[in-house]
Amino acid sequence: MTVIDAILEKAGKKSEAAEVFHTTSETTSCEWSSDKLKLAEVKETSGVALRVLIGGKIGFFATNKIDDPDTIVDMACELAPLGTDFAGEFPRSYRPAEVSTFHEPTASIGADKLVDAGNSMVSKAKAAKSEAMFEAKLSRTVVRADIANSYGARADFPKTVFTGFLGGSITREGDVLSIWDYDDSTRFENQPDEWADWTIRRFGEASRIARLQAGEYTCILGPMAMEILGPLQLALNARMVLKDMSPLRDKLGRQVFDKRVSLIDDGLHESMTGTQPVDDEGVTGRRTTLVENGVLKGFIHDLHTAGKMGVAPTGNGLRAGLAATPRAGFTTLTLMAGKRTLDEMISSIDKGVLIEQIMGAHQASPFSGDFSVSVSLGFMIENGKIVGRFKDSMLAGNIFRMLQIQLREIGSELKHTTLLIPPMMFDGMTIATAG
Amino acid sequence: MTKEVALLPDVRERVEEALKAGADASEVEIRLEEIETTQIAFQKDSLETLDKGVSQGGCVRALVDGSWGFSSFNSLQNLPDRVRQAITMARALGPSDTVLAEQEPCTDRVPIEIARDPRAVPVSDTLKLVETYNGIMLHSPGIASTMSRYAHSHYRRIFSNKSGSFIEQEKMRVTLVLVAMAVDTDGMLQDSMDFANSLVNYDVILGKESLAEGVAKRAVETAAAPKVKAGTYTVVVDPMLTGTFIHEAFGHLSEADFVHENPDWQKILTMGRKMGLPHLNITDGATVPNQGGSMKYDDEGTPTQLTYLVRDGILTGRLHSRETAKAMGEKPTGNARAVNYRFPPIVRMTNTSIEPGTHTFSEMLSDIKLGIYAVKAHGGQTSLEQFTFGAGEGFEILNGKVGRRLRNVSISGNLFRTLENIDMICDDRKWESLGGCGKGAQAPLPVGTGGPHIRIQNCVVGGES
Repeated sequence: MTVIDAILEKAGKKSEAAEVFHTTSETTSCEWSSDKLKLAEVKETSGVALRVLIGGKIGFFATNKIDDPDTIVDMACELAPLGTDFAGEFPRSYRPAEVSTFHEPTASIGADKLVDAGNSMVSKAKAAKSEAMFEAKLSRTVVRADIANSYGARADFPKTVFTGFLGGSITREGDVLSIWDYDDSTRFENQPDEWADWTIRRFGEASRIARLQAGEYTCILGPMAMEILGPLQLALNARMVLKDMSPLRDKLGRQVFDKRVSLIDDGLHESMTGTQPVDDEGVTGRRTTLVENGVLKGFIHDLHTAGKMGVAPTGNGLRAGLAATPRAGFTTLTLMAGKRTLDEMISSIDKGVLIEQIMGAHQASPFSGDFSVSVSLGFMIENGKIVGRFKDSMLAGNIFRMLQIQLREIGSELKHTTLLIPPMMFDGMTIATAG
Repeated sequence: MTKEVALLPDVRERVEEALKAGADASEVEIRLEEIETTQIAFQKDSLETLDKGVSQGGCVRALVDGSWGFSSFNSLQNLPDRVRQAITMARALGPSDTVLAEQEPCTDRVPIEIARDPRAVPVSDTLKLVETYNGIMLHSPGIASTMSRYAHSHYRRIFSNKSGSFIEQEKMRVTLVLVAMAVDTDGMLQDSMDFANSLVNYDVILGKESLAEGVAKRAVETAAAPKVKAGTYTVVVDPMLTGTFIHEAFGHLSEADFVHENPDWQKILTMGRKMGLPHLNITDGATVPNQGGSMKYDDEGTPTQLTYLVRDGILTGRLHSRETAKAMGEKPTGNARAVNYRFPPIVRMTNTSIEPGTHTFSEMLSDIKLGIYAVKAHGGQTSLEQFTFGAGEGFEILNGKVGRRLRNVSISGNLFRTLENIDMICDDRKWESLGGCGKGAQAPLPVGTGGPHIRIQNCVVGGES
């Protein structure tokens, strides 16, 4: 009898419905620092999380001591009378989406291959920019998740994840320059080489310093600077809508953004690590339209929020970790691409800035969309060309206002950061500078 | 009252047996850990989270021919195989040049003195209490929504290494965070927060009704406040934000792991360099009692200490692991820390503080015509010498007095210039252990941050023009 069966059998007798989530993972990774290969590691994890439903309330317990089903069931059942309300219903059957997140060649990558890929990435970057010191990490994970409930529904799905980054820094007193790139994907392809190319290119453009006056500028924000969109992610989450914390809560069907803005949660993108055949509650993975041509079409839901709001669940019931209950979260929030490339957008600007990397996005106000972040990699643009890097500056604004009235153009090249998003150009962005 | 450390029966024998599988390695470390967590969260009018978990696991780190191999796992069976696995990983890298500082072997057991153990309090009692605080905020005038979070965690950690140490440590944390939100003039939510926490006593969260009332009142005031105008100001920083500032802006630079192989940084951070005025003293130490970073030994088994990073305005120290200390010809400081058993230890802060000075708060304000008073931390980030942090609350200082409330106050700058620009330090240090520090993938690592009110000249405040 498997762990899942043993727990379900006991939990089924003590509750109206029960659901077990069992996950194991194996990660191999290598790390470089100060240009040198430093560490290789292997991580194995396993654990179970049980949800029981008793009298409309959820009891939850998670552990990686999986050999004692009685304790697991008792802990969850004990908490149920105090637990959170549950307005949904566990699915009677699971219908996994036809999507493959397991990539055999990626699964079979070992430490030796990571060492080779990382060494050539670091030495390529170092050869192009010898005065910089580089650090990097490459890692490959295989996750296996099993989910089953007391109605007899059951699904299991493996997933591969390749993730890593390359960062370089040049240290001079009064001018420390750091440039990095990163990504994660269900597939190992050519990413390390692309990170090296991107980093080398930006180092080249950053070598000249430009003096930027404080003021309002036309500003292109690169995908990595789009971390500021955190409040947008909260605003599109039904959990926030139910608590009156989303500024979009009463705007369904209305024009909320510029008509060029379309947002989907793409749960079927095979190379994105957020994709799953079913979500962590067993709901079929799918693509959900959230904003279409600026009009708000929907929110992301888990079983509870869908039940509470009387709509269909969207396959977004995700666990932030083993010890967390499923809650609405994005698989891959995607902002639909526009037509022109970043280079074409740059060439259309007489005077403006390109901001690729920022610091401090998480100190922004999480609901209002107001932000004020430090620019860690910003370039001045004059007459359609990058003329140099500007320093010691802050960018401030409000992300909702930017998407409503400041948007000038959406770029064509999607990149995956916390969301899948192209570079975007905005007018009238405020930049403050030191001295 | 503390429970016995009992991750495994006969754990010591098992660990020592497993270490024998590491004969070929120059060092092998085994860490075993058990963590219990409970989390409760109310949002607006209902319970959002009641999560309980127990996690158990371990890891092995091995240094072979100057390269590190690491293995982490949940099952505590077959420890000798895990040691061999870590060695295999190290060998995959080939030989390198990492060498460790020597360590005196040590056997110790470090339980904590818990005043009241949260694990002994019925969950229903804590739920009721948190619901009460949440209700106070929610029913205050002008409040649109709330979040009230409670969490406790307890861990037991066993460390053993080939050098002969065997150390058992225990740690606990209880945290209550209250957030209230009110609608601003643009129809958007502005939030205000306050908290209570302790490393030894559940009772710290009792009787917080007035804390809840204060949070609600400040949220309404913040929502009504004008946004700060971007510019360069004289900024007075409160103790909590001072702590965050010194952690983010200076503390990370004092971590030797990015200096020990970087000659450019070594030049900039030469011992004896002038960092600020003679009144500036900065320390880090896990020996400060009952704060987030407090402990007797770090995760390499090195006894912890108080390290003066800056003394009388001069750079005098930095934070080390065994590896970075050896590389730089200095001594380990007990700052090798791992967030949990899934990670190898790296150089981290423990409890970091600007030491108190001699000025008073009113002296600081007296000659400021137009300035900013920045209160409480709302997150911060650093990229080497550049830093930025957000204030939870902000006020205008006008003609020597704290005036109207402002919102969206955040501050950024260059560390070295900013430290030199600290022209006054108060005598009113406070400690705070709410924050969790992030470095690489390891977050949140419990740390303590401390400091008094400080005054910074020519500080860049972000905002709209």
